[in-house]
Parts: sequence; structure tokens; C-alpha cells
Amino acid sequence: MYVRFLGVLAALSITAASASADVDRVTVKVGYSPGGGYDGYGRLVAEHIGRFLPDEPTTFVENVPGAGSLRLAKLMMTTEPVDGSVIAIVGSAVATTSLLRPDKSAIDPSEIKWIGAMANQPSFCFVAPGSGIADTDDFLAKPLKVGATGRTSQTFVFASLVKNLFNPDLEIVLGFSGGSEINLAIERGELDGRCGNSLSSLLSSGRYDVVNLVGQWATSVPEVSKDVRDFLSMIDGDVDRKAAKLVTGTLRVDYPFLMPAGTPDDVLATYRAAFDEMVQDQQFLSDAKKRGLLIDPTGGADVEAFLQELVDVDDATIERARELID
Amino acid sequence: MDQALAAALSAVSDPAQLLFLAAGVVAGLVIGVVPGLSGIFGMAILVPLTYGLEPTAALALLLGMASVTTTSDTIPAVLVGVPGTVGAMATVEDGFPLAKKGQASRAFGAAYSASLIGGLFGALVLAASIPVMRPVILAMKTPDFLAISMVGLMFVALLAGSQPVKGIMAALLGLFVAQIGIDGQTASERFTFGQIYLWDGLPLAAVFLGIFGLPELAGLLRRKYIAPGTSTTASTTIGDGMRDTLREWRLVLQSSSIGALLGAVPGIGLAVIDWISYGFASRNRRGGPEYGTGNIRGVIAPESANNAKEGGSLIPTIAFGLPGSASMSILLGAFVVHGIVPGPRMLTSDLSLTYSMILWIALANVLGTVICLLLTGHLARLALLPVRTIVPIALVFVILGAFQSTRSLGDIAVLLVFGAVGMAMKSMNWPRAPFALGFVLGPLIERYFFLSQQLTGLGWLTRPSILFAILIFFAFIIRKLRAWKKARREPARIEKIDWRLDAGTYLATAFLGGFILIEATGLPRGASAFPTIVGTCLVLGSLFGLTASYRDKAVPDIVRMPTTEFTVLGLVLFFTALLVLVGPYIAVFALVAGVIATDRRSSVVRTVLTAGGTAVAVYCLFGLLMHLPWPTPILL
Repeated sequence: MYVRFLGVLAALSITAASASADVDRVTVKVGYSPGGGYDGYGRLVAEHIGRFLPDEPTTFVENVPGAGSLRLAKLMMTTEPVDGSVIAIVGSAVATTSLLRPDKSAIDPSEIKWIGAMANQPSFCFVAPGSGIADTDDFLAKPLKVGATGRTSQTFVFASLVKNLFNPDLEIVLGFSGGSEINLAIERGELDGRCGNSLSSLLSSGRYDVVNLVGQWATSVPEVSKDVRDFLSMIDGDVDRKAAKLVTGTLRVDYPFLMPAGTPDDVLATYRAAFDEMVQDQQFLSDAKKRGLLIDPTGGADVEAFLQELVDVDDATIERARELID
Repeated sequence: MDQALAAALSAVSDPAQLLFLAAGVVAGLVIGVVPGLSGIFGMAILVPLTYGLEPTAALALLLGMASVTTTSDTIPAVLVGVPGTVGAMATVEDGFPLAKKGQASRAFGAAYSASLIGGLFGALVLAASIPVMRPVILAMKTPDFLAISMVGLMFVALLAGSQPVKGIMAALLGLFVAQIGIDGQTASERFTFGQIYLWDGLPLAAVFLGIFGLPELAGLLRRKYIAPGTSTTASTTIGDGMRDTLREWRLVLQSSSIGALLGAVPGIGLAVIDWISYGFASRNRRGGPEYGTGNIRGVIAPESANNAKEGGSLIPTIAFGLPGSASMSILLGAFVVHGIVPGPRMLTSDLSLTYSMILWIALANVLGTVICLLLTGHLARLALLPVRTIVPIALVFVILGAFQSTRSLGDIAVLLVFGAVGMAMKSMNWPRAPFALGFVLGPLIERYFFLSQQLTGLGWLTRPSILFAILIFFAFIIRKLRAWKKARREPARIEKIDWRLDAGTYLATAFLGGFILIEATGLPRGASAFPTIVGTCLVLGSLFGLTASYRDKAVPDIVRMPTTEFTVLGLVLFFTALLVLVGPYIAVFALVAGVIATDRRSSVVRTVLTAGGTAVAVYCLFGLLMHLPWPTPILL
């Protein structure tokens, strides 16, 4: 009977048909699990970018979660094809991870091929209305507990900045599975509040007007949150301020899309042009609005220039930044 | 409230919206049948299609799909011993033996009717919980979730059967495997050996298809047909199974309660719920055969529980926007698009939407059951096909089901490794269910433990739920010690294992424990605690097992060579090689045609048609619908 098995194989090897990979398809890889902001932006772009690329390729979404999108970033730097068939959305902090957490990432930020970033939005700290924390001064003076997911997440990093710069009595409770679990722990009274909540998330969940916003990390404060205290402007020391700017600077180019390292310049230019056109498109913008996703875009070349400037700091600043997020 | 209910009733009686529900149900049934695919995949595919729909129509499509994947997942579980979703792993234990006895129709009848009642029960629980869901969830603190996870893990004792040491060791192996990846707390790599693939841990579908699926396919290859003779459909009927379900109404309600309540606990997924309900049922045979040999209660309990889960997991999703399961997190994304804001509004101004969700779940379960019952007669006849036709087709879907986990060849490697582990466990009488509980509950226990400690210091130890969990632990131990002592006195009902093989296995697990302990010393404090505990327990358990094997010095009556096991693993390797060399469709054709051709009774036409049909099905499902990114073929 095994002879018959081998016979089938032999016949097949002769009649092998063509099944080569498509080149008219683009996969948008998302560095996080389905659901949530990054997945939302990834799916939004996947549904629209094809219209602005030559020959209008079909687009697909693939989630590649792991280590706060560092896993996907590393794959984009090493194994993904450079023919334009794969683009990705990762956490913007990936650009500074090798600088701030060299033990976690060996990614060379200068090799990253940025297509563009979707948003420039602040990240907030808030407390529950009944927590006994009246305002920002209270938040920065009283002993209290805030929740965080992992050590590389914004929930931890931005809370850590507050703890190390303003309030040593702030206790960061680590290990929540996601932002919604932190929010529920706040509602249950187990936590006083949290940091690292983006403006779009607060607006789309309807919590922006419900919670007590006690401060924001922002590269530029938008009109909508101008009454909320800006932590960066409250920092006294020059090194501390520069270090905090290094840590929070990537908010300026949040929800960024990139291409694999080594992508030819002409392919990158095509995608950057498509991105710039897409973010002006009314159909795209109304779809984003419907999904509760804020769009305040930055083109790929500007992202690259901004990040180069951001990481061009002296060793003392880098050292201090590492201390602030530890 | 009456107005909200009236609005919901009016929405769900709209024929156009019912069509969306039907489409969702059909999609859900297809997804449930294919091993490795689950509700989360269906959600990801369907959510973008709902953007242009009315909110209630979108919910009809999505909930229609999500509610019935656990109805049709019974089909491969009963027919070939491979669960369609992780929610049918426990169903295999008795459903598959029933099919092998020629009672597939009875198993289907019992499973579908239990699924229906479970699904309706889940919807009812969701409806009944509307006034209390927010206060109840708010009253539960983090240590309470730790207690629930701990009690879940204690079901290892019930699932270990007459092999307590092996059961505990299997659970420890599951706990260890779950620790592979980047530790959430300290962001340090645990047991990843520098592999990026392992950063996010091992994919659940690939691990479970390996542990539970491949060993059953290897077992099937030792037979000519799944069912004896040609009497599969004639010996029992669907009606017999439905009568079984009605007779076991108490078990159905108990299991449904387990499903609905545990479904509301975030993180406790189907993989745990079906085993806990199975463990709960297995306390009592009720006059039926041994569990694992075709006791219908072993089918009824998990099938009631896994359909009831959907209603339960909507509770935290609706009330707090906290996804009760992975597929619920995608549903939440759809909520935003449709302007649905989870929270108090869902229980007041948007109550009609909540009611319509409940009604959709109930209707989807009814529709899903009716469709499955209509198909049962035909499906049960599949058990009459030669095994060498069924196995390669099932194997293709198992491999591709695993491959779609992270769409990497690493998934197939995981399938292969855990397939070998599962085969070894099965042949050496190691219960595999405790492994599943350890794998799923381990990370939850670790996380809730550290959270409880950070939030309350040692205060969590005095929470009533924790005290209750400790009480249950001792009750389990006392009850099972008595049962195990009794079992030791009775003649062995299970096949004896050569003591040298047993001892060799315990030596291997002892080395593994030692390796874990050494590796743990290089980890930061927060990341090393649980591996240290698991490593220590593995070493101690191995020494205990080693001593017991040496004392018993059991020698088997018959020694069976693992020929079919090697065949299945070889076929997986063969398929993977072809996948890489010539692409998926030729690989599918070659595997199916090649295995069928080894059956002397097969005709060339039937072989080509079956293999070609399978390749076309794979193309439609994995190529056209899922757009699975296949590896670029080297030779083409």
C-alpha cells in the first residue's frame, strides 16, 4: 500500500501546478490583539489605503501581538518582505525602546521606514470621581494606587513619570490584562485611578466627561483638554524635563505605520504619498469619525525627522529617562 | 422596561434582520466544524461587514455567529475525536467512544439538545442579571477572581480519575507551558530561548489540537471504520440522545449554570468551562459506563456549559465594556462603530439593545440546533466511511487550524511537539484534561495572585471567597483520597504501563523541573516565583511517581508499538515539507490522495475526487475567506 502512496506522490510531482504568492495584496499587520485602539486604526487603514495605491491592491489585516508590539517591530526589521506587500502599525514607543530599554530591544530606529502616524494626542491620568482626590495637586501629593498593564505599556510608563517626578507615594499596581480591567478596578474602588489613557479612548468610551482628569502628558495640548494640567510644563529641572520629553515625545506621532527595514525608497515613497492622500480623503475621515478614532496625521518624512530629533539627546538625559520609567 | 422589550421584539421579528441572524448562524456553524477556528476568528471576519448595518442587524449577525460555534464543534469531536473548538475538548472524551460504538446519532442528539438548553439558559441568565449585573460585578474584588481560578484548578482532582499523581503532574506541565513567553509583570522573557515566536506564549489552538487532536487521529488509524459494522445510524437515534438530555435535566441545568457564571469571569474561557463541567458530571456515573468509554453525561455536561457561556460572557461586556472573552473584545470594537457605549446606559436608555442581544442569542441557538439536527442523519453516516478517507481530511484541517493561530510555520512545530506529548500522555495513562486546566488557569492564577497582593497586602487571605476556596480544596482532597485508596484496592481498570517506561517519564519530568528551577534563578523576582513553585512541585511529584512505579513494578500484558502515532506525526511533517516546497493546495491533495491510496479498496476516481474536493474546500475557506498568508513555495 505504501507503493501506491509513493505512486500518487510521483504523479503529483510531475503535475505540480502553479500556486505562487500574490503580489497584488497588501497585509496590514497589527502589533496588538484584536479589539482596542491599534487594531481599530489598523483595520481602518486596511480598508482605505488600497484606494490610494497603484492598481488598488486587496488589503488584509493580521494581528501579530506580543510584547507591546515589539515582537512585530522586530519581525518588520528582520523577516518581512520589502516589496510593499506588508505594512504594520506598532506602538510609537518602539522608536525609543532601544534607547530607553536597551535590554528589551535591539531595534535601530534609523532603520525603521515610517509611512506616517495617525494621531498626535495627549495621554491622561484620571481618578474616579469619588476617590477623595479633588484635583491635580491632590493627585501629586497624596498616597494613592494607580493601575498598569505591563512595564513597557503607557499605563506604567506615564504613571512612573508621575511617581518619579512628582509623587513618590504613588503606588503602581502592575499586571492588569488591559485598560478596561483597570477601569473596572477603579470603579470597584480597588484603585484610585490610572494614567496612559488616550484622548480618543476616553472620548469614544464616553468617560471623558465622567472621570476626574488630573493631568496630561502632551507634546502639544489640544483645545479640547486645555483646562487639564500639563505635566511637562510643571517639571522644574532641565534634565528632568528633557528626559520626560524623550519618554513622552512619541505621543506626537502616535499610532504610526511602518514598512520593513530595507524597503526600497520608491516603494516607501509610494506608500507615503498614498498615506498623505488617504488622510485628506473625506470618506476616510468620516469613517474614522464613525469609529471614534481621532485623526491628526503626520507624514512619514516628518515622522522620521521628528523622531531623529527626539532621540538626538545627550547621555545624561537618556540615563535620567531610564531612571524615570524604571 | 416593557417599551424596551417591545422595541427589541419588534427588531428581532423583522425578516431582514432575521436573515442576518441566519447568515451569522450558518457562518458560526461552519467555523465551529473546522478545528482551530473559533468565535474570535468569526468576529474578526464579520465585524467589518457590519459597518453599514443598523446596530440590531449587526448584533444579529455577530451574535448569531458567536452563539453557535459551540453547537457544531461537536461534529468533528464525535466523529473523529478532534474538537471543532476548544469548547468541545471534553465532548471528545465520551462523544467519540459513543461514535465508535455506533452511537453517533445518540451523541449528536444529546449534544445538540444540551447545547440548545444551555444556550437558552445563558440568554436567560443574561436577562435575569440585568438589574443586578453591575452591583454584583462591582462587589467582586480581584481576590475573588483568584479564588474562582483556584477552584477551577482544583477540578484537576476530579479529572485525574484513578491517576492522581499523573493528573497533578499533567497540570504542572500545563502550568509550565503557560509560562513560556514574555512575563506581563516584569517584561522579562521566560523560557523563550531567544525565539521571537515564543514572545507571546504558545498558541492555544495549536497546543490543544496537538494534545487532544493528533492522538485521537492516531488511534483511529488502528481501525478500518470509526463505527463497527454498518449500523451507525440504525443502532441509536437522535431521539435517544434527546431523551438522555431530558432525563439528565438536572445535570443540564447545573452545567449551564457553570457555563453562564464562569463565562462572566474574564479570562475563564471555553477550554476551562467544558472541562470543569465535565469534571462536575464525572463525580457520578448514574448507571452509565465509565467516563471516557461513552457515558452520555460526559457529552451532555460540556455541551450545555459551552453554549451557556456566551450569555454569561456578555454580562461584563455590556455592563462595563470589559470583554468576558477574546471574541467579546472584538465585539466591543463593533459597539463603538455602531455608537453603542457599554455601561449603565445599556441597562437604562439602551435597554432595548440589551434585550435584542438576549433574543438574538436565544434565536441563534434554536436555529443552530435545528440546522444541526437536520444534518445529523447525513453526518452520522460519515462514521461509515473508511478511516483512511476520514483521517487525512481531518488531519489537513487540524494542521491548517493550528497554522492559522499565528500564521507561522512555528504553529505547525507546536502542533507536532504537543501532538507527540499528547500521544505519549495518552499511551502512558496520563490524563490530558488537567494539562488543559493548568495551561489556561495558570496565567490567571499568577496574575490575580500578584494583583491581589499588590492591592491588599495579605488582606486577600481573609476574603470569604479565598477561605471558601481553601475549604473546597480540603473537601476535594478528603473525598478523592478515599476514592483513590478504594481504587488502589480494586483490580486495575486501565491498561498497565511498563514500570520502566513510567519511571523513565518521571525521570524526564524531574529533569524538566530541575531545568525550570535553574532557569528561574536568572529571572527577576516577580517573574521567577511561579516557575520556582512549578519546578519544585514537578521535581517532588516526579520523585513520588518514580518511587510508586518502582514499588508497583507493573508489567503490561500486551506491548503495543506506536506505529500509527509515528504515521500521524510523519504525515504532519510530510505535509509541512510539501507546504513549504510546492504550496498548500498540492500538499493537501497529496496528503489526502496519498493516504486514501494506501487503502486497497479505494478507486482512483474516488481518491482523486476526495483529494480534489478537500483541496477546493481548503482553497475556499483558508484561501478565499481567510486569506491565509501561505509560505512562498520554494519550488514553484
